Amino acid sequence: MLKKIDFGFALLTFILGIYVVLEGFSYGFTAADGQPGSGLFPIIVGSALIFFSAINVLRSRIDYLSIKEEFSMLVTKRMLVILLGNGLIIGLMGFLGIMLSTILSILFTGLMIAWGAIDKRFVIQLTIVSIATTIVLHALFIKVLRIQPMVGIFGF
Amino acid sequence: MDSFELLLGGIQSALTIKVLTATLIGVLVGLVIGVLPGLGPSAGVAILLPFAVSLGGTAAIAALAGVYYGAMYGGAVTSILLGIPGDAPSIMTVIDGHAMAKRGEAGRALGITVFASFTGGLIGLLFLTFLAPYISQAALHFGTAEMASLMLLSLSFVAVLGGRNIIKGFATLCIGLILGMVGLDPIAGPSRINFGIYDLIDGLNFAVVAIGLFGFSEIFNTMLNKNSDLESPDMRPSLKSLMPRFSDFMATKWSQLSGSLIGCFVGILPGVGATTATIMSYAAAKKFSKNSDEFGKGSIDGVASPEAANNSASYSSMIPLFTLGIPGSATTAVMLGGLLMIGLQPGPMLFINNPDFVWTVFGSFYVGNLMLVFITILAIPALASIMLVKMRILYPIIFAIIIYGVYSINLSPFDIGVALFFGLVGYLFMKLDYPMVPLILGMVLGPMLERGIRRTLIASDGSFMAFFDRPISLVLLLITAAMIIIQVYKTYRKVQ
Repeated sequence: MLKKIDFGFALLTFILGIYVVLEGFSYGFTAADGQPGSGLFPIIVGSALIFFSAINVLRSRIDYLSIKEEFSMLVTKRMLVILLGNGLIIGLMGFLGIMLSTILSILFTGLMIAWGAIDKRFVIQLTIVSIATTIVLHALFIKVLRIQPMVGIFGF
Repeated sequence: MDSFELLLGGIQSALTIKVLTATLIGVLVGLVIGVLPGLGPSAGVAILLPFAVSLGGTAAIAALAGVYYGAMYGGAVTSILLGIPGDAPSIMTVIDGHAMAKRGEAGRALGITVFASFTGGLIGLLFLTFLAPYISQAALHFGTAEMASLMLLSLSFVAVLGGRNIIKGFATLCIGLILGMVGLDPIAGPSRINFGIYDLIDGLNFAVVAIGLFGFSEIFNTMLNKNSDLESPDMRPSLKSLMPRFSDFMATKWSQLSGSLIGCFVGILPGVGATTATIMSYAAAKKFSKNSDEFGKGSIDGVASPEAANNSASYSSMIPLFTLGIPGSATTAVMLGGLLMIGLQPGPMLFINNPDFVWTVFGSFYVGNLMLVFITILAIPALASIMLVKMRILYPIIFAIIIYGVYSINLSPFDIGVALFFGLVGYLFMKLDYPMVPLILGMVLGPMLERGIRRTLIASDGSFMAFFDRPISLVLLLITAAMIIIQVYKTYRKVQ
């Protein structure tokens, strides 16, 4: 599984290199007055990325430097849940406000870390920690450092 | 009167209650600001500016400088304990500092940070006090070609820092260079490589990427570890491990010295900054260490060298500020504002018209540097005891700190999403054996390299010979080539 991801990642960086080179050409290798243009650096760096990624693609196929660690389907699913869960909470920050989003994020992250060993005591402990931490952070960043908060529909 | 006598007089003036109190407030505020992810010395100095200016005179600059070096140390605290770089120059400290904390040596790591910061600060101060006029004149010989060559030399350290897989290291460097290009072109103006995303038109914030790459990836790694819900023994340090070790000071003396000297020279160059100094010093320490294999796994030299460079660069970056009136970094630019607000014009005439002010400020730097050592040594056991908190409680709290820290940079939830994305990228890097440091290296140095290359080419009508015609540039390029060739050869031999 991990070797497939290694191949996929190298392929993705290869495509990124092509995208950057094409973008570079659209900005122009040289400007109208013959001086170096905005595309000069993207073309050079993009080409270098294509070169190194191509080697990585080949290496991942011929197992040049074998990756010993495995990467199970379960881990992949769990990672997606973590990312989507936190992504959703952050995405709803405009609606929930920064305080509620942070509380939810702490709860979600804590429960995911303790997955399989969650008991009632831990949930209570985590809930108290999430509220207390958010209040302290809010006081520090918003009240002391005067950072403008993101307020949700509940007015905080 | 010679410089030494003037300095003694300055230290005496800095020991007044008003200046001492201002320095103490500055140091404490700096420590708090530095600990918060996303907020670095420049933000700290800006936040304290109105208060400091109200103090007036030397007390104002003493307070602002106190925030500067206090934040420098504060940044190292989160890097070591939580694996989140407090600010850009602390990134190199994360690598070995956090590895030490994870194996139960948080106190040692924090202790060596204090010692190395003191050494670096002292050497930087000596440079600032006695060599400032000469060094700033020499720095003026660094034109765009020399700057570009210096950036290339710094990037060549990927060969040293790239781990066992140099090709993946260079691929990561290219990704970092591309990330550095996202946003407005520094010379011609158009927005580049923004993937059609409106929020990327202004570019990616370096701190957001770094926090995601190092902070979130560490949390993801813990969450996906099947034993992470348990308290692992290496995260339960003994009381002894929370204490600093004075023997580490002598054991790392050469790393501290080399880091301090690199920090002094690199810090002087306007726009290059402490981050470059820490990267270069880490690479140099690894290159010349007898135990280079330990770097990245919790090497004490890997913490000492960048921390010494960080602090010496913070003082040497004030050399062009005081002698030429040129701010070399964002922080010194805010300090320049402070100087102007209290009615002083930095530059050569400052030393002639206001010698008492200059030497008292320099004196307060020495006092503040020493004050920081005592405050932080006393605070280390309390700070290091964070590692006693259970992971399943500690990591969600870190998650919340990151959310507030990243949000505060641009007041944008989009940035938190970006940090989450780079957390995933960092996690994949860990699993797929891609080194993370080259990405940061590329992102920090890329824009400076591009500006240097393009400005040189514009000045020379497109001739690349401009890089070889200037002696300093030529020497730097030859060192770069030698460095890459030797390291690639070494790696090839190892693989064989």
